[in-house]
Amino acid sequence: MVFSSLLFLFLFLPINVFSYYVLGGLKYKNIILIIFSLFFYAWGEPIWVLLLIFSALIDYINGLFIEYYRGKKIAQIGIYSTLFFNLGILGLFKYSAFFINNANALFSLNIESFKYELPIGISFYTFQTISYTIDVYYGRVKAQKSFLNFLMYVSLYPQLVAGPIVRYSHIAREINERRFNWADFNAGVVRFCIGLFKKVAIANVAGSLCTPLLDSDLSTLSVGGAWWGLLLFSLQIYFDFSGYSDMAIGLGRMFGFHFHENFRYPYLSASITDFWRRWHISLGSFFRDYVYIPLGGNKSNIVRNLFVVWALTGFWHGASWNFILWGLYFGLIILLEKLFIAQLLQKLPHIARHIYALFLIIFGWALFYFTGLERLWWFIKILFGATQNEVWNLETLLSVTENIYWLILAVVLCFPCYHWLQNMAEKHVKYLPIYHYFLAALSLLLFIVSVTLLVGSTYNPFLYFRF
Amino acid sequence: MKEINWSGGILRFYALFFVGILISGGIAFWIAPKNQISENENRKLAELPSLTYSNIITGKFAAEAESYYSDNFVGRNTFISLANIINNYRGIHNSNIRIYKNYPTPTADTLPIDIKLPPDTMQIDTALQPDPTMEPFNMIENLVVYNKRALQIFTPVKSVLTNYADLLNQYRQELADTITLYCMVIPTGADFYLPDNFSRKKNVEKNAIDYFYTLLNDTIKTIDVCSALLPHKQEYLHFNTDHHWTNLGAYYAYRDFCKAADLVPLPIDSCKRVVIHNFLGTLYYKTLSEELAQNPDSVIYYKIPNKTTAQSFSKTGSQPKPANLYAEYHKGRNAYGVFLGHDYPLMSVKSDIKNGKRILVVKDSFGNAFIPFLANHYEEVWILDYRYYIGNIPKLLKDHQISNLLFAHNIFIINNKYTRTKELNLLRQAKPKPPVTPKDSTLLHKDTVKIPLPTSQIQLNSPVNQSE
Repeated sequence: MVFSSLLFLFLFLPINVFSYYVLGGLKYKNIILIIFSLFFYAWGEPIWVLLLIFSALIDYINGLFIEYYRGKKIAQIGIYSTLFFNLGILGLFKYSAFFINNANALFSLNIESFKYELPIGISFYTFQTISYTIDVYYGRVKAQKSFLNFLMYVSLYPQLVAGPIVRYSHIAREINERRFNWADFNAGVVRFCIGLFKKVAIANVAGSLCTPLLDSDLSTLSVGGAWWGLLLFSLQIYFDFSGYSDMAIGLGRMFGFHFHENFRYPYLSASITDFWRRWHISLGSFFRDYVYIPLGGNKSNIVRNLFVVWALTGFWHGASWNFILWGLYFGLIILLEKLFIAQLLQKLPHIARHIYALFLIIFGWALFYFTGLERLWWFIKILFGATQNEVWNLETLLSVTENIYWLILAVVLCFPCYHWLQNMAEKHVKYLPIYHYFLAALSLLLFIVSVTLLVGSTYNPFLYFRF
Repeated sequence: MKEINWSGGILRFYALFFVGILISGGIAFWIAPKNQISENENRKLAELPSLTYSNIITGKFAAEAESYYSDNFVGRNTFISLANIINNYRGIHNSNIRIYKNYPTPTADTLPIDIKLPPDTMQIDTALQPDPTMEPFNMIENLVVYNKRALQIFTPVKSVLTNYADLLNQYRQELADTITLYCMVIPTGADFYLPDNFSRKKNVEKNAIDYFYTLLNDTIKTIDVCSALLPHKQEYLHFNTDHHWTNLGAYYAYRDFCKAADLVPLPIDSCKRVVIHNFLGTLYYKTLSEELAQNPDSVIYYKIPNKTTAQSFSKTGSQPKPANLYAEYHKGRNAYGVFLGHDYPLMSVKSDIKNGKRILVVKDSFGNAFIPFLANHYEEVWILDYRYYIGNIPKLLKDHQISNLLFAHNIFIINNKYTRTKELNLLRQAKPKPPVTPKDSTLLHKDTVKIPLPTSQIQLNSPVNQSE
């Protein structure tokens, strides 16, 4: 199930909230959350919920095992086990086809690849359980004694399918002691509405505008159209992903959980290093804490460490060469920034730093979008005018002007407007009530607009009939 | 903390209010009456899926339940119009041009609703309903509304055009020399009406048709519809709100056809002009564009003076039923249906011109506006809709002693792989055995979906055995 569906909004969510709050006792509430989470996950893909429970069970046992043998060498088995099972599951479902296809092409073999579809959220929950076991090993957290509690952490549906990658340490306490207060619940609702609006009114619109451009016959794409399409995709991916994170954080708060932020206005970055501290923070910090630093971090073999981390970061996004390329592209830029660009940037005015970063980020999305390298190369040539394609055309002009207010809104929403508002209200205490009234009205409006657009997008006339 | 307490009321109120909206939305869904069909969208709305083990395991239940929920959402039509208004505020609209494209793909099993016929003709063969698995069933992708007129943007696919040309050449090769073959590709008119700075799409239809004609065998007579229409482009040749052409557009093409067929065209003055007002066609319903709503069409048709009797047949060419050359009961959004009444799999028109000449027209719905004129020149006009008929064209020609064969297709149709597959079958396929049991008829139905040859036909490439 996805959050931006009418069935979720008007059936699943109210029943979930109602049954959660009607029951007393955190233990029962947790069980309700598990039931709803497993149902949420199983909706549409009932089989793979078993895989999720299996992964949770493995790491529940690993945690207890490590705790039991704490200090002894044998405890390492817990680490090997979590890596083996979780990376094994991930490798089998997500990457085996990629490796087999490449091996087939390279050695002209004919091995059949594993044919099952990728189970939803697998990239997120396997990372969560890995981080848990490693944290237990290093004594950063205590092993969870109750399987139900642990299963709730892994399966908690707000963050299950699209992150953020919640660390066990972040919510360990809240599993057993979280208290209800209206301010939290209210903030959760507001945050959820903002996320839904970002997904439905910005990301979906950007997607519907950019697909016809980027998926079109590239020989007819104008240079302007290519840049416009790429800009739209940049908006789509940011608002889609951060909108989803907002909804996750909002839903979490409605049930008393406080997840960490996953995005911090990434398009306002002043460098690529900065960008990766603001974009998908839970993933970046996972690779930093569990790969980069164990490899030696900034202390030794920095080039190798960067190379490994960024190739993996790219590869995590999808089993295709272009994602590895995309990761390495950022790895290379970050390396160069460490070497000299950062100092160079310091001398430049702010605006130049932002232009520098934004250009590289947006260009990077081209590497991300085109999974076929041939098509990617063609598209890059168009972007820089190395083809005979027209520079500009009427269709692009119309697409821009017909969406100009929407574009302005989308760009404005890349700025921390919400935080400005919040800070202002907190500074001037007498405005606080007004602020809350305003926020309630605003989020209600955002919700209504989102639902309207969701229903509107189901308009689906059947036209073949009289052709 | 005092401040928060002060505003605590609104925090609680809004949180409860929000949950209240969700709950009442859910309750309203279950108690509101459900619609079966959506008139605007011309389709059946999704139905509640059945809760079976296999449906759940395959995820079919989940997908269909979501469609059911969104298709039957309370106040859906209101929300759709509201969404349209919101989308209108996304930017500045040049008052006379607007691009529509990339509509979301259907989520539900979309089945078209049959048009409503008067009771006496209610018995419609099931074959009339296009199969939803037929690809691509939503052919209208890119639309431009310019000067209150909807225009379809055509993108030719060279390989598909070449393959279709090869097929017509194959028809030429395999049919007897006594059969005259005509080919008429009908443009949608976007060339004429797109703004001049719409550069990369300039003359794309004419160029594609010209290119296509060069691929055809010289003995296939082609009708250059674009050139025939060009001098008249200020006249009412294409609808503003529908994807079809008008009877007048078809008339100019018909005059050119007469040149190719060595006939004397009927002067338009000798036809009785009839008007059906207030026609909003498919492209209006695709876009729900205000500009189009302000510019409704009229279906103007010119009735030929001849007396005719028409019959329609099932997809296997059996079960004759009375039909009309002009089905004058059609109105509203179905007004184009006045021409021939319906896309019957097979239809015959017998006229009072007793000259023994017969023609078979293989067509899509664009042919409908054109075909009535032919009844002034041929004693029998046979009309075959390539989508629904499943018989054999050579046999049909032989059975009815037809010596003229015209392929009258819209350019979008010849640019579609499906057309070639379907018409290759019409050339190859042996006459299907008449259904004996209901089981057989379902098999036949399946054949039309997947378009394999009947299993009885072993050699795919052997010429059709006429005695079969």
